[in-house]
Amino acid sequence: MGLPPPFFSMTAQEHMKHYGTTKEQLAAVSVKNRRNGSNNLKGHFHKEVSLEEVMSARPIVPPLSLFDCTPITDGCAAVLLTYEEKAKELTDRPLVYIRGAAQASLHSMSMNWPGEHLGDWVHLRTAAKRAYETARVGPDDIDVAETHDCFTISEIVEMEDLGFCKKGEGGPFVESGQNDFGGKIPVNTDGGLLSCGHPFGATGIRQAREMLYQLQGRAIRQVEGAKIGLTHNLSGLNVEHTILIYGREP
Amino acid sequence: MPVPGVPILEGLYPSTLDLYPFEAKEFNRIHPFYENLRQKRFTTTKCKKCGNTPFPPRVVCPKCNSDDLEWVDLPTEGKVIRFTEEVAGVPLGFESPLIHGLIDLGEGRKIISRVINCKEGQLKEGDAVKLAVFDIPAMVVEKRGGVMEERPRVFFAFEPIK
Repeated sequence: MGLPPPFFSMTAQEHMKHYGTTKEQLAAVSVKNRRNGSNNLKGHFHKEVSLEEVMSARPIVPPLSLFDCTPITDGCAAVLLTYEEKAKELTDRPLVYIRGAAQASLHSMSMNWPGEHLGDWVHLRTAAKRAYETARVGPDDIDVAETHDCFTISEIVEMEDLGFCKKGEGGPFVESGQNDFGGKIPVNTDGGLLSCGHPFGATGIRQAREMLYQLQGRAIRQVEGAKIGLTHNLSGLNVEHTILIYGREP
Repeated sequence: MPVPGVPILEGLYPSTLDLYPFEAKEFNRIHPFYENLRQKRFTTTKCKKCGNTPFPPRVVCPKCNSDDLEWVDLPTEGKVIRFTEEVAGVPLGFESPLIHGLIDLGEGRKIISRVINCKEGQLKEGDAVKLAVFDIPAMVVEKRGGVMEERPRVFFAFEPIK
């Protein structure tokens, strides 16, 4: 099968058919993330886009257009992971711990999609449930999140299947600013994949770095008093999901 | 298969960018899948112990780990539930329009696969499609004594039923 765009375009079509998600709601994700990334000089793009620009951009694989897709980007990221005593030796800054983690995958997706339709990511819910259990928190405890917005539709489904809003309500959730600053849970505060670009592998580490800065209180776009954060990645053609939950306490 | 738009590769196949699996029996334990495709059969493996019939075909049952598997037929015709059409910016090695479909084959089987032999704007949701098997560049197997054998290969997609 070709690359991700056809698959996520089908996902968007199914989500729009089953829940009435609109192109404006998809565009809202792009506008928000490009705004969040506009002063992140480490990202691919440093410019905001308006809703009109996103809605009138050229199609890539309908209904996804240019700004619905993450760019192809080269990049790298690094994070230092160590045990508590060593970390205390190396830094005076407040420590950030990985509280919990989980992963779920399918063995293939061409004929084995487990959900009711392509917008129903059962394996993401499986990973999320396990991650919350290992971290001993629930979706309402998360103060800031970095999710895998490879396409605008991805972030909308992730809001639902990570438990931040009800299934099917991802579109209105992002359109009304609930996953932006001032809303229920700021997501992709450094621009996410749509603004920073997506070097495979490095993206997960970039997200970890943003979590570190958010929980230490020194992010460029800071979520006030962030204590618990969540990062999410998917890979393959949406066959695998990995979730990490970070906190100021282990 | 010429590489469109890259003159230096006209008439050549970039084997280092090979999109397709090795199908020769020396390299592939599910080689019967491709031999069956040549006979226009769409098949997969069924576990004789527990009955699990996954797709793609396996060499070990993912449910009960038995390796006592047999080959069974899958439906070769279906209806398009959803499809995507990519016209500009199609990846290297694919042709425009690049069409993918979510196809209901019946018997609880829904497959995401490419749809070929279809013009831009032609496909509609609900259209009937059937299995299409096409030739792809051969792979080369080196035998004892340095003898190079060309093994023709095929792959599958779906095409509209006229």
